[in-house]
Amino acid sequence: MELKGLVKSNEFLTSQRDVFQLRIELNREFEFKPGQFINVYCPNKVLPRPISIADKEGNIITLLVRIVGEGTDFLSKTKIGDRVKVIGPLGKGFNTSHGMDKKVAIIGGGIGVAPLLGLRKANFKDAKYYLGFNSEGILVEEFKKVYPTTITYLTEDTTVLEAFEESLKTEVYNFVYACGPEGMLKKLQDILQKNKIPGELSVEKKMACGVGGCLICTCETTKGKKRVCKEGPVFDSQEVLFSE
Amino acid sequence: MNKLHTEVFGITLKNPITVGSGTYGFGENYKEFYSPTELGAITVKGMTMLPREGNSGTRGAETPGGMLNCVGLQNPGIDVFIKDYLPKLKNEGNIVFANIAGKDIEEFVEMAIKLENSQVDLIELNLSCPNVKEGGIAFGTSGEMVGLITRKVKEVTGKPVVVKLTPNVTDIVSIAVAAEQNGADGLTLINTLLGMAIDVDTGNPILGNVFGGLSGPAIKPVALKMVYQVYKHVKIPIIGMGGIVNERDALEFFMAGASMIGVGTGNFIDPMCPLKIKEGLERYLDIKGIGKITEIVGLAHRGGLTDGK
Repeated sequence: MELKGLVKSNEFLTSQRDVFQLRIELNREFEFKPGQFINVYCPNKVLPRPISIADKEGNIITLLVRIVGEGTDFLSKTKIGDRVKVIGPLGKGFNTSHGMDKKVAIIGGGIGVAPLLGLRKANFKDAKYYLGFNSEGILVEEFKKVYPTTITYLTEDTTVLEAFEESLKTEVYNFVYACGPEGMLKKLQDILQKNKIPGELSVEKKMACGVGGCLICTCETTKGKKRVCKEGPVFDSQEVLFSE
Repeated sequence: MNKLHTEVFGITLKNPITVGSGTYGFGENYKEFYSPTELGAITVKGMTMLPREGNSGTRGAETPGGMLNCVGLQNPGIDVFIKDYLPKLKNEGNIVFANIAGKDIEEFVEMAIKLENSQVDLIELNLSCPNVKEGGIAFGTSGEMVGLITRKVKEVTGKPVVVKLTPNVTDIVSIAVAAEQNGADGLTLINTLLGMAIDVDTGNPILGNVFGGLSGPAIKPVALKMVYQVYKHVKIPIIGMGGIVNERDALEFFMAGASMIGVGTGNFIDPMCPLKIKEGLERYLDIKGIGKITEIVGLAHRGGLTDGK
């Protein structure tokens, strides 16, 4: 669905000014599942930028974005009232019904926390967050101001998984939702398999069309190559075959 | 009156707009945006005899004004297409152009035989994919080979056969002429240009395949030039493509000599691109007072629009 967006706010969350929170008011209501993304258009760039939806309130969506190139740099400079064209929501989000009436762990690393933030509104019986940021990246205190305080914050990527694994000695999780760097997801996959915990992972790949047409963003899975934009970005935790 | 109505390759089309093979899957990806029956024809993903997983590693990179890809003909194989996808496409009322890529002449012939007995409306020979090791671009760079494959395929099918050519050659005209002389019913110009990109943070090529096919607005002038050049030397219709993202681009291709146009990377930039082009063309013809789109085909060779248009 093609949507017209109006920038409502745009704020950096880090002192290095590399991660920002962008809120866009869209001209139409739409259904959204945590884990889905939108394609945002940037002038002078050929392809749209796929960006996870971190949150949605009515027609206003929140994006949490790290600057990685010219497109995201452009978005970081948009000002209140600027118009942006958007297509979405795209992709398959998390299936929150897997975690209903259960105790879930939500595990995110770096900017991979963005697609997980919408899960805080899901009606899980109990949820514990393990969100890790590189200490050079998102400033935890700034992030805390913007997002709810029910989240466990850790400041090193690697300690997220260590903390989660440690917690398994005393706690029982029935389901896990996760997103983060490939290396982290691969390690998590092993932990989940060892402990027989089902889950879903959101993965990231370079995309072109975002709607399933180009086959640029495929990833290896146990069932052959699948499109991250269409069959994903959320996959069963044991389905994706990471190369690292 | 439908000003975009076109009769080409012996087929009646509601408009002269198709899509680049490999940009549209089997018609299933853009359905949430519009009905594929709105297009004159769907050109489906390039098919091989057996299913292909395509290439590994990074398969795409954005470049100034374009993009590179090295997908490598990922497809479910021709039998799955004929059994699972084609009946649905035809039942919905689509005109279907089937793009095929054989690893040798025998495979092209065998696939053409399979399609001969199917509901496919046209066979497009992919003699130009830059991302596969066997066949692909190697066939398309030799006029002799292009001619031979075209002739062999024509011997086994009564369906129209269009040959998709690569721009990665010294003289595209001689290859186009070889296709025509050996019975091609039409030509598709052009496939992607070979290119590469390097990640300066790592010092490594970005694409898993190192080289890939460059497409998008960056290649439009090259594609347009080749359509213009070939039009002067052949009588068979041309499907023009290469960087068409709006109706003005499309108009240039018609004026250069294309009877149909294909939208490729434009689909990735904006899923609605072909429909917006269709509406734009209708608008243009109305404003200029032109009765039929076919009137502007090759216009750039005939001194342009006459007074009052």
